[in-house]
Amino acid sequence: MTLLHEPTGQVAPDLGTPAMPGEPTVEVEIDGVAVAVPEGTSIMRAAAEAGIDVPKLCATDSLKSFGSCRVCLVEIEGRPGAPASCTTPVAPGMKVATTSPKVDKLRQGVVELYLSDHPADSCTAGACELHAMAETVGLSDVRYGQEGHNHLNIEVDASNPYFTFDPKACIVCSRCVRACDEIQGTLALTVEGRGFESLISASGTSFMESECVSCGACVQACPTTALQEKSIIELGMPTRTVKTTCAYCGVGCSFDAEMRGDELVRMTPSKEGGANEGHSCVKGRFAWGYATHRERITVPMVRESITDEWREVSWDEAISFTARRFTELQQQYGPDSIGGITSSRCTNEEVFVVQKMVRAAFGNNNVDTCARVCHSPTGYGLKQTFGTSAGTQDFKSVEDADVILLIGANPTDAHPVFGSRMKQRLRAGAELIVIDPRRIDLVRTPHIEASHHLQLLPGTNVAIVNALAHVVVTEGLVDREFVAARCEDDSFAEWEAFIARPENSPEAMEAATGVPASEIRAAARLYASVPNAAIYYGLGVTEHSQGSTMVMGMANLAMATGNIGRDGVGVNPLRGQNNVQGSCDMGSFPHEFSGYRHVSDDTVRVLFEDVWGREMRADPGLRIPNMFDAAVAGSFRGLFVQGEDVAQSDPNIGHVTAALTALDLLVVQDLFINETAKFAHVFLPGTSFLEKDGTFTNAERRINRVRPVMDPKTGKDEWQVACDISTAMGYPMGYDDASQIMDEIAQVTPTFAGVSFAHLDEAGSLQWPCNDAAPEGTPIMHVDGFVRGKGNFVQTPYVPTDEKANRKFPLLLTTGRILSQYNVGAQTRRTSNVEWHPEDLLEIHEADAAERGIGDGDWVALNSRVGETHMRARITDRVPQGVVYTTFHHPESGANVVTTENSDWATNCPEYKVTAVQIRPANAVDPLRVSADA
Amino acid sequence: MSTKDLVRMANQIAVNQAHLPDDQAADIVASHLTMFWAPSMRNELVTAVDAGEADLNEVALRAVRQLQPA
Repeated sequence: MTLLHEPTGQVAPDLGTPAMPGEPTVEVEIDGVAVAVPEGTSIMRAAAEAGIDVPKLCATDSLKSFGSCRVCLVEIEGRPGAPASCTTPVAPGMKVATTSPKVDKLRQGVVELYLSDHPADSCTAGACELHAMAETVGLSDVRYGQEGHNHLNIEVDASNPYFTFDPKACIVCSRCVRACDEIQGTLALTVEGRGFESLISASGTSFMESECVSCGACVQACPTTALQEKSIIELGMPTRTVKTTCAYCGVGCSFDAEMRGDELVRMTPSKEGGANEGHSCVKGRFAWGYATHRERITVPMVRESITDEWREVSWDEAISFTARRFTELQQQYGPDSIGGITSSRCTNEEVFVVQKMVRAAFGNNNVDTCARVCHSPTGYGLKQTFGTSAGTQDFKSVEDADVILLIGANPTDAHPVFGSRMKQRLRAGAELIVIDPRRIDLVRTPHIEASHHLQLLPGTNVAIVNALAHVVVTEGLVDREFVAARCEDDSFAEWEAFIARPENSPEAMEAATGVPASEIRAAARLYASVPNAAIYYGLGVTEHSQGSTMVMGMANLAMATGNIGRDGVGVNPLRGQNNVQGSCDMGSFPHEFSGYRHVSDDTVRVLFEDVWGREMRADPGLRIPNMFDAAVAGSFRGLFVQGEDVAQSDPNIGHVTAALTALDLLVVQDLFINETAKFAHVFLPGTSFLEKDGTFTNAERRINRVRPVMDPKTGKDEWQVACDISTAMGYPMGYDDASQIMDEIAQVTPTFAGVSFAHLDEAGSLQWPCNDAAPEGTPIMHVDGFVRGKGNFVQTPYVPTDEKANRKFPLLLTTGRILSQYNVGAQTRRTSNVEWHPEDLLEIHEADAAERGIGDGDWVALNSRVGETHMRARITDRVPQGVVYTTFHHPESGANVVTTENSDWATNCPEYKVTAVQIRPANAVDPLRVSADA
Repeated sequence: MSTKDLVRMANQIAVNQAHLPDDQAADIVASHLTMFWAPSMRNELVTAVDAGEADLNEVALRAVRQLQPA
């Protein structure tokens, strides 16, 4: 249901029908007011732009006009009748009357009929447009009783945990059906029956059992209370809003946090949000209850040993305990014996102060971020080829793509709002190539079918991308003009000779990849033959032993075909967490300061030394896996972990927990006692996104404001904690508020030079680079030249992974996410989203299951050479024979117990996507699932 | 840190440069180790090579011998 009475804040008005592209060349007069609008604009929208609201029920500006409710009738001079203003386009010189005795009477009659079959008392106060419309059209009385045939005895569907469907309040305007179609693209809803029998239906079943993905688009579109959030029913309508940014995936959706007093009652996606433009998914829209979950820790705690009970202490005691212990470790074991890990779940400002604490107060470069285990190969690969670590496009760019090459990503589950945008483009005619071992939904979904699904064996990405490039080079598909103008001559010539070698041909790679050569050739021709081809990729690219090589291989392919530097093309990483891009931008890697500048660069180091007043180290520090190795070896003794659960998310958990156990001091800053905190000596309570003041940077480099809707439940901003520890260790660090941290980021980071909270508040969001050369940001990168000057082709030989299936471990395990859960599940497991995904399941092909005597739903033991875990099996044809798949959202199943220490050669990003395993039937979950030696 | 892990990682970097002439590959590996490995890791690998305890491939070995003491 929509928000009728706008609370304080800036909720964008509903202009009735979508904006039309083009210049405002059509001049019309509405109720005597002159207005000019683009050709094709509806009368309703033109009126709204002239400040005149035409009454409406079935129209809303997020959906195409439909013309079913007949409330928006108007009169047009010189034309007969009273046409619907939502479906009638303007014409030059048109004169329109939105009110007249005739249309007023018609509207009253229509609304009266609606009300005659509508409960008078079903609405939360202020939530029903129909009742408001009755007032607007001046209807004071309904002449028809409700004794006749009506819909007032139909049961409410309350099966969905977040919203109800009450058919009694439904006016069958189809806004929900159209939202599911036009915005979400799932088509879970329909109108069943004809005439008076027409009813909205989740395809004949309950919402919970239907194909509905709970994105909330239908609820938002509903003009009555037929579809309504349970939170609104329980808590009432909001009284004010605060604009902020979702803290789940890397899409970075803008939301209006709707408050009733100090209580959050609803999150609605903002139409003006650059990333999401009014859409949302089940996580951002509904799964925010974890922020006030009973298991949330809000008081600092310490303990001498991890076998002791936690002891609640004051912030002062926790800070002084932490600082003293870190200082003692450095005195005893040397300055490099401690370090820190920053989190992609935290704001840019929080991340910046933690890496500053490490570099300035700890005095070393032992800082890394959780992007190490997801997109660090993106940083390496795109910097080598293009010159900086960033996706090249904004999300909107996909609307101009003719071919979408989707590699190792599952956007409808992991980046659902962008997935919906991609689906709309595919339904409009773009072709799709999917490269994935698993049949993701986009391969075949309503109105969409991939032209090619290259269902490769896990670990053979580079073989495929080389084979695609081989076809481009040997079949004359190179964009010679682009390459000559934009790329290095020498590197291209060397790469061209390399990639044309027979060993890179689709035929030569067929045995390794399992993909027929003819399919690869056809896909390459399709990618290279259209005006605009765009690559989108995810962790199925990066989390491999050749993750960085694959990123460079994709960049080579895009450059060779001229698919860089304009709308509709590019190389686009879909970032996993909300602030992966930002945490990397902020200097979280041990070899780089903010803005991706190496610590060995004397000029850059001097800049930081001048601003920070401390000498900076010129050598890189330890990466996360190096920290764990050094901890086990005894040279690394203390670790600060900000908002990260390495004991669940990182590979080979047996080794990780051995490292954590070996530490003398582990400090964890988080919302909950997570798996990592079980090994901690200090627990510093963190703040949820609802309490944070700062910024997140999404996958399209869009810097969005995160605004607090409530005070920190911990009594302290999260950035303040790192400042206090730093100060207690002898390096004073302090800011009056988070905006001052961003000012410092802008001071030391050229790509952020034009960014400030004031500028963000004015612009809504900014895409870096944002500086004197691009004062309002940069939606598309490398337009006139690459960041590094000329594009660099890098040779990308295919090197098979060491992780091979064999007789003992004959299956290859690959991992991923599901729509309703998020990463290690710390947030989503503490919401009703568990109703969709209460446990991780092992997807297995029917033949592999039959060979092992495994039935659907059976418990199985999953073994690799490093560990064993137990979960239930799901028999499916989504995975091919020889490949199994699971998610990693639940600590009880612990998928990462079995993943190995193998990693990307360039970045040490773990090879999560390839683990040789064996499976056998088991009785139930083994509570002591870790069987490996650390 | 474990010498075995350091050797494994260095060898892996070298294998990914195997398409290049050995001299060029060794230069790239040495540069990579300098740019991305902590000094303690490089020192341990150099020490292991000096002690004859590092089972490095040819390119990785040549690269480690180029490293300056950190």
